[in-house]
This record gives sequence, C-alpha cells and structure tokens, in this order.
Amino acid sequence: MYADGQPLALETAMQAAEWLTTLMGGDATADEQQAWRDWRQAHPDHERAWRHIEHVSGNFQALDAQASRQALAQRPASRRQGLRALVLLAAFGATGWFGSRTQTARALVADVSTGALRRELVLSDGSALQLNVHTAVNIRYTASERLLQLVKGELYIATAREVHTTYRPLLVETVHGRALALGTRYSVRHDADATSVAVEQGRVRLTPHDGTDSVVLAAGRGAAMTTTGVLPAHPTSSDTWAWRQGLLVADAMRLGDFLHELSRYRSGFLGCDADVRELRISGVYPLGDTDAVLRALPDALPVAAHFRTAYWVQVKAK
Amino acid sequence: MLAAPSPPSPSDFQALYADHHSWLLGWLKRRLHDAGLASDLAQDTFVKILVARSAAAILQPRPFLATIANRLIANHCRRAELEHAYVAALQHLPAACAPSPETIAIVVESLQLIDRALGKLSQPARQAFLLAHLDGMTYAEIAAELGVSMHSVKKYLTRANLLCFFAVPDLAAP
Repeated sequence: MYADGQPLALETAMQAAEWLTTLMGGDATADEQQAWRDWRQAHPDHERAWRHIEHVSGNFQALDAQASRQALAQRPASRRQGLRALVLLAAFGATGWFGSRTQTARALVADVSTGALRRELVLSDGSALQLNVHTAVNIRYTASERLLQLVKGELYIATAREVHTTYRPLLVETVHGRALALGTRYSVRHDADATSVAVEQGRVRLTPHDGTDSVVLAAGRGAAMTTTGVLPAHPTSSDTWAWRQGLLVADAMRLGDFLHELSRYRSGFLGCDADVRELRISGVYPLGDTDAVLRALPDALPVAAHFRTAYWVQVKAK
Repeated sequence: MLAAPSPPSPSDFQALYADHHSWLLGWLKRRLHDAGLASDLAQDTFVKILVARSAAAILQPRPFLATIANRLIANHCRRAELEHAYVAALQHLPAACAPSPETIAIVVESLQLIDRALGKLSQPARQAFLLAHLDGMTYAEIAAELGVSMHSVKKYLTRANLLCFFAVPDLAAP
C-alpha cells in the first residue's frame, strides 16, 4: 500500500480506510471521534495516511457527480456501452434536447402525455410514475441513467431500486434544471418560470441548468428551482401530494393561487378579479368536477363564479 | 502523485539507459505514431525503474522495458478516455460551466484513481462507493438503494476506500 507515493503498511492503510468509512457516515459518536484523533497521533504513518485521504478526497470535490458517473460507466471492458452513449449524445445534439424546440412542439412529440385525466404507469425498471393532468414526459432510459424529461405538468415518481444491474441514477429534467433521485419518492411540477420539487421519501439533488451549485432536498421538504438557482426549501404539506388522489387541499390559500391551481384541471379560461384575489380559502376540493367547486365558492367566500360560457369563467365579488 | 526520484544507483541505471533507451523509443514510436508521446513515455518508463531502484535486478531488459511501457500506454489511453468522456458529459449537461485546465487535471487524476479501484471491486461495492463519494448519500440510503444491510455497506466502503486511496503508488504505476 502507498500514501503520497511512499510505501505504507497494509495494516495502517486498512485502519485509515476503516476510519474514513466510520467518519463519512456522519454519525460517529464523540468517543469514536476521540479514538480517531488518538489513532492519528499514535504514529506518524497514521497521520500521513490520514493527510493522504484528506488530500485525495479533497480533489474529489472538483468532480461533477453526473459527468463522473458517465465517464466511469464507460468501462474499457465493454466498448459497446461506450458506443451507445455516443449515439445518445448525437441524438441529443450539441445544444441539448431542451434548447432545440418550443414547449408546445416538445409536448406534441413527448413519449407519454395526459389531457384532462391523470395517469399511472409502471416503467421498465419497476419505478411507479404518476402523471397529473396536462402533463407530458419523455422517458429516456439508457445504460448509464434513467432520465425523465418533464416537458410540462407535474409528475410523482416512486423510484425502484435496481439490484441486478449497474446502478443507474434516476433524474427528472425540466427546462429549469435536473432533480436527481437519491433513493426516493418525489414529485416534480413544471410551471412557466420555475420547477417545484417535493420529496416524500429519500433525498433529491436539484441542479439548475444555468446555476453553479446544486441543492439536496431531504424528505418532507420542497423547493422551487429556476434555471439559475434554487429558492429556499420549505416543508411540504398534505396538499403537495393531494392531486395524486384527485383532491386539492387548500389551507388559507390565496384565492388567486387556488383558482390558478384549479385551472390546471379544466379547459378554457378561469379568471379572477383583482379585488378578491387576496381572499383566503380553506378546504378539500375534488378535482374531478371543477365546475362544482366553482359553484360552491359562494359558500366559502363572498365571491361568485360567472360562467360566460363553459370555457370562460370569471370569479368576482358577490 | 509521482514521488521525487530517489538518488539513482548510478552505474546499473546508466548502463540500462545507454543500452536500451533508443531501442525503447523506436519501439514506442512504431506503436504510437506520435513522436512526442513516445518520447514522454520512454522517459516515464526509465523514471519508474529509477524510482523503484530495480535496475540491477533486471535480467532481460527489453521485455521488461516493453512490459512497463505497455502499461504506461494503457494508462495513457485510459486517462485520455476518461478525460474525453468526462468533458463530453459536462458539455451535455447544461448546468455545468467549463472547468479550467487545472480543474480538469485534478478531476482526471481523481477519476483514474476511482476507475482503478472500481475495476477491482464487486458490483455492489462499486455502487456503494459512487453513491457515498459522488452523491453524498447516507449509509442508510445506500443500504436501501442496494437492498443490503448497513453492515454490508460499511464493509463495501472500507474495501473500496482502501483500494481507492492506498492501492496505487502513483498514477503511472502498473
């Protein structure tokens, strides 16, 4: 064994590797940390071994996780895998898939899309995918990654673990950035100027397309991502997941936001007068019959929905 | 990573160099069709022997030199492959900005270390190492992802850490 080019006893290297495993776990006890400090001081070689680890792992910080994975996935023993990756890059083109078309055109050519009905799918790896209404997704599974391109709308994914094949990270990509699953269940919603991600289980790494940093979201947390950055995370609430059951849960929600949310589940124009937009609404509303929800608004607030036609509804003060 | 050459054991090494350097250089040029690279690798081959202080023990110098040079060629190719694949992957990622040549040098050195270690590891150990070091996952998450116990995750990582951090004297080594 070696550290910084000089020989190192196997036993010392083994101990150092064990300490690294213990400390990387992040849950080392105070006693363990003291034992580790004692070990470092016990012999100059121990200290040398540890400094070597610090130096090498410090260099790892410069690695982009995804690019590294792709580079390392091309094992010299399997040239064909490398070839497939090249073909994939060529198909995407130099500007990347999202740079090449308008959103509408992308939605038209998406692999899976929904209209007014929600949809559930099981993907080839066993991951369960739920699509909200008006959602379009491309499914791009390759040898090195499982990529879902969310063109519009909202999806929820419970990722399957693939035990018998090479680990392939699962990513959801929008025009704003990428959300990498770290063993997990989460939802991604694509709005015009941001992508909202909520994590139910596990963790998700958010990487905006034009940003320099990525952010890891823990379970029970949600955050919005624009192309340039990730906004501060917030706790998720029950309404984040409600669409999967076809319910909209409002907890003192702005009426303007409530109607915007409702409009995603119906066709046509749904407007709101400025003077009632800031009213707060609470309740659980079925998304299957949005007309009924609109008709019931006067029960909750001093407002009424005016149906000019079935496709043009304006909410005004009563 | 390359250790500073220790003082040569003068006569043996000089004799080896004088007798075989031009032969090795010609052999490398025929294989590589790149005079500059051939010259670098010939130099590296002798530096390896100098550092190992093994010149006196060589019985059949030319097969020995060719063996070392072959490994250096393989390393060089793998390094170029990793660098190419990494840079290509970065260009494909809209999020990444172009790294400096210094960063690329550090990255490729790190990738080579990891690549070598991965080659000696079982599939789950490989995955555990990447998930821990690249993705920063906790051991509980890795255990869930791989469908193994926490104990197994730690066992995989210790072996992977040993091979990745300590098994390679320097990156040009066999």
